[in-house]
Amino acid sequence: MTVFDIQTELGYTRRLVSGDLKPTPWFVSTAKGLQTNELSFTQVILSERGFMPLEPMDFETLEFNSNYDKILDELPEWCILTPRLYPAADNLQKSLDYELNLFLDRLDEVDLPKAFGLVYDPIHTDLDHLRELLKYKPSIIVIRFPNLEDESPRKMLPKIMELRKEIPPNVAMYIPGSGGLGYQTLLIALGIDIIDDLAAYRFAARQRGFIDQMIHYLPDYSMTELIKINLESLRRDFDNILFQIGRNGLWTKFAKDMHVHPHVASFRHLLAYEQSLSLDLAKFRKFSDNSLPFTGEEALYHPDVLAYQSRLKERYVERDEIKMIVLLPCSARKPYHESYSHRKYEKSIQAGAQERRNVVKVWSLTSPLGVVPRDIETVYPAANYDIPVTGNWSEAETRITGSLLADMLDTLDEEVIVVAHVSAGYKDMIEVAQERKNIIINWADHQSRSDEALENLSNTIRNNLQKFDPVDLGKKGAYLEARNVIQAITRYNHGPDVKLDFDYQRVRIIGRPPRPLAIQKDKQHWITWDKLGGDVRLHKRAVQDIAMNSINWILVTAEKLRGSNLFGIGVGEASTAISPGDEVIFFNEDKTKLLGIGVATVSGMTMNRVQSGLVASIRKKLQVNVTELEE
Amino acid sequence: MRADPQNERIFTQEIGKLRILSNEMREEQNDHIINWVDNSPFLEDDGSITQGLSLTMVLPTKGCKYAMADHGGCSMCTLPMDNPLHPSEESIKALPQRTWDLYQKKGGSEKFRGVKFYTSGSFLDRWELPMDVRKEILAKFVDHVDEITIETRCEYVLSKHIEDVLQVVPPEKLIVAIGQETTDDEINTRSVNKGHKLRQFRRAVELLQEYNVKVKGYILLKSIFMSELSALDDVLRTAKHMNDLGVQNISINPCYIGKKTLMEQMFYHGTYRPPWLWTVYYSTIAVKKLVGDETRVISDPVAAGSDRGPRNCGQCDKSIKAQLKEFSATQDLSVLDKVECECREIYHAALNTEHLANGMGTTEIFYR
Repeated sequence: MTVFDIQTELGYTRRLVSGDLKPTPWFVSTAKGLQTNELSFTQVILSERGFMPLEPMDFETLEFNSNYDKILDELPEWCILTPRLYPAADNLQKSLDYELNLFLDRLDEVDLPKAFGLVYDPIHTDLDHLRELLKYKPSIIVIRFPNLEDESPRKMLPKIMELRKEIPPNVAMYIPGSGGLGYQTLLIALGIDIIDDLAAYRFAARQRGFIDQMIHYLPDYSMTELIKINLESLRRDFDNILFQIGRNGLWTKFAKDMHVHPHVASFRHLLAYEQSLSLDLAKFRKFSDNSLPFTGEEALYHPDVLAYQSRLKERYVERDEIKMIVLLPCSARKPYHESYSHRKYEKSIQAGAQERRNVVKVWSLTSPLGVVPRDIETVYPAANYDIPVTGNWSEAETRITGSLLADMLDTLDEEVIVVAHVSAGYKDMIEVAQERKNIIINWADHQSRSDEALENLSNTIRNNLQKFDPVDLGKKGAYLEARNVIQAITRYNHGPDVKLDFDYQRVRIIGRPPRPLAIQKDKQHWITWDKLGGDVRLHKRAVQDIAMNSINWILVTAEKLRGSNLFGIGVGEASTAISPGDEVIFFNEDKTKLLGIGVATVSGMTMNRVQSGLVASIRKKLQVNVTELEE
Repeated sequence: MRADPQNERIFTQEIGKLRILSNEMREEQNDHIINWVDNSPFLEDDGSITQGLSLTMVLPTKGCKYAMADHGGCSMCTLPMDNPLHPSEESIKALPQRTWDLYQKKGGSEKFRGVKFYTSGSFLDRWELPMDVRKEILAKFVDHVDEITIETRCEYVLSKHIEDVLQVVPPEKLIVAIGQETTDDEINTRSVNKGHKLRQFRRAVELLQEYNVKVKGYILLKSIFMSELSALDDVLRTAKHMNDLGVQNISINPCYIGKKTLMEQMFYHGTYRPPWLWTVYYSTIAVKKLVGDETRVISDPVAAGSDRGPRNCGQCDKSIKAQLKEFSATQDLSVLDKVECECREIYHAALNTEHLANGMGTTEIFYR
């Protein structure tokens, strides 16, 4: 059994914990063996003579192991076990198979320690061998890779991704020797948990230095200088990686690290253009509070952006009463509705729609997200990203966001009118969507906030809404906003089929931002809504309302929840739709009883593959027969 | 059992194929005696070491019989390529006189304190060298040198051969060198393809000791399928075993890439590089510290500094090679204290990771 539990999951990056050790990722120093700040790995050969440790020598004192022929009585903790010999060549496959099978035979005979690692070679062996190794429950799988910088990204990238999916998430992966500036961000972003500093030496040996976050050819530097520079640089870079993991910013750093070297950029480009669709987007957080400072086209392929778009298409459902969508340009200020420009647009929309305002919905158009409906513009990443604004869109931005807009418009009824009021840069994007849906272009030129433009917007709205009956909303404004936003965010979280019954007569909103608002129903607490942060928390009655339709379910191997946390051992099955940070509903194993609500700390995919460690925190415990719940 | 015993030595099929190729490249006949002079350590009666010159002669016999078997012999060995496939009876019979003439020409007794007879096989194998011929060779030199070294495989270390040789050479002048390569039977069987194990080596050593003949054990540094670290580890273990057996001379032989060998194939495949000279350096120090003054440690790497031989960064190779040579001649460890190069740090880091990484130690240094 692996000694690791998952503390945090951010896409493929996990922070694994074991006892008092610091969470992964770990940075291994190679100068005097394989050492982290807290432990040393011992390489041990399983030989016919017994356990042969390959002990590092003390090269400074030139004092050597006085034993010269040490054979261990038992395997030490944190050992990495290897075969005696390793015949790796195309024409020696049978010999390699023999050595590996002999190794497995020997593994069958030994008492393994709690924490140990096994070596897997994806170049010369197939996945069946990896599966054999995993049966021994190692805590670490060491990947025997060639040096990344010498290999084709097209060959290596799918390998890394395939291995991370195959190896359970609570088993650490270590790629010895394959770190290096830029590469270590890539590896950790793809779920490698242990890296080392060998690249500092290897690049120095090639007269390459890591300076100013780039790899330079430096023939005037001595090797000793380069080693020093490279080691310091790698260590600092690793600290930055830890910092970025702490704020869910690793993929932003990876985008930045493209400038380290064109070869690193090749990995990023391939990941973006060819492999992004194979990312398990459910592993990426949908609710977060970090900022996303985008600088260019890389933003289109950021997993959090892709995850947002995927969830938007799957889970956003426009209300039946909406008869008109107004497409607006985004704003620098988030959420958009608080910006100066959107306040002006809103006035103009109000002036045009008047008593028909409740049938008009604003969707903001933006790169890289594509479309952000007004109701969910406070959620991550809509409220968190930043991009340079030039008014010019690239071909990729136009194509991708235009296609998303078209997909979203396809979900609307035929009769819904779509009005675009945007500046010139959005024109191409609108045209992409126009191939599939009729869009009235009210304004697509410079100065979309000019008096003339805004007047036009009012008129267009007014003219097109004439056929709909006006409705006197009275003092329902705040109520309607709460209803719309909470409904939309709840669906964004729990899936498109959940529905909360917002009966105006029974619902009351208490409080004022910035504090979270309490939503009461029948004078009992129903929902907590952080209006500014985009966070909606369902109380027990609201949970009962949506439980049977939520796709964020966890079947628990107990009839009752205990304590405040759910651990891997307690999960019978979890919905693979769950992302870390999602609100989740707990049922008993045959789903006859609703047991409570909580927040996932790891994805549903991961919950299904781990037997230990925290997988969700429990917020509210319930004991309700599902027969009492509404479908 | 997952490991199929039929595949235990299946890699030898490749060695066999390569041996056929290399044999096709061999000359039918030649009578060239390859020779060189080197500085050697001579053990004086009082236990001290003095330097002296030795003449080494490689006799053009048929070469190693073991290498001619279907399994192709040792995975790193290219030596028989230098020998004729079918030397004439006359050329073999002429060897005593020709070696003596060569010895005289190179400086004779005035210059040399020792001679070494190699055959790219076994001096004691009658298939290569008839008993009367070898005795005649030894008889010519025995009164002119202090030490005669002959090389042989274990299986020819038999009483009849030893006694035959001792009829002309007193035991105190004779050194029998055995290419054991490693005392790890797994490495010998499934990497070197040596054909004999520790048990056979022990028997040979003990038999030679019964006749008071000194033994020289060869240790192969970094056979195929081994990482740098496991190779270094194996040298130390093998030296320990040899020392425990009472072997009085230990020669550390780092691998170089011989033509038409499996090692060469691995080299081209990128999964083998010859050992670092640092590994030779460290193992030499370690072994000498282990065995002490009583036992001579020879570390004189072939092809050092070349692409196909043990090497470091290219800057320090010459000096390390020279200092290893000096150490081998003097047995004075202090001469190795002078070695320093900035590539050493790179070596340390590579050593510690490559057993797990690409396994065969392919970290290279490209100097400007």
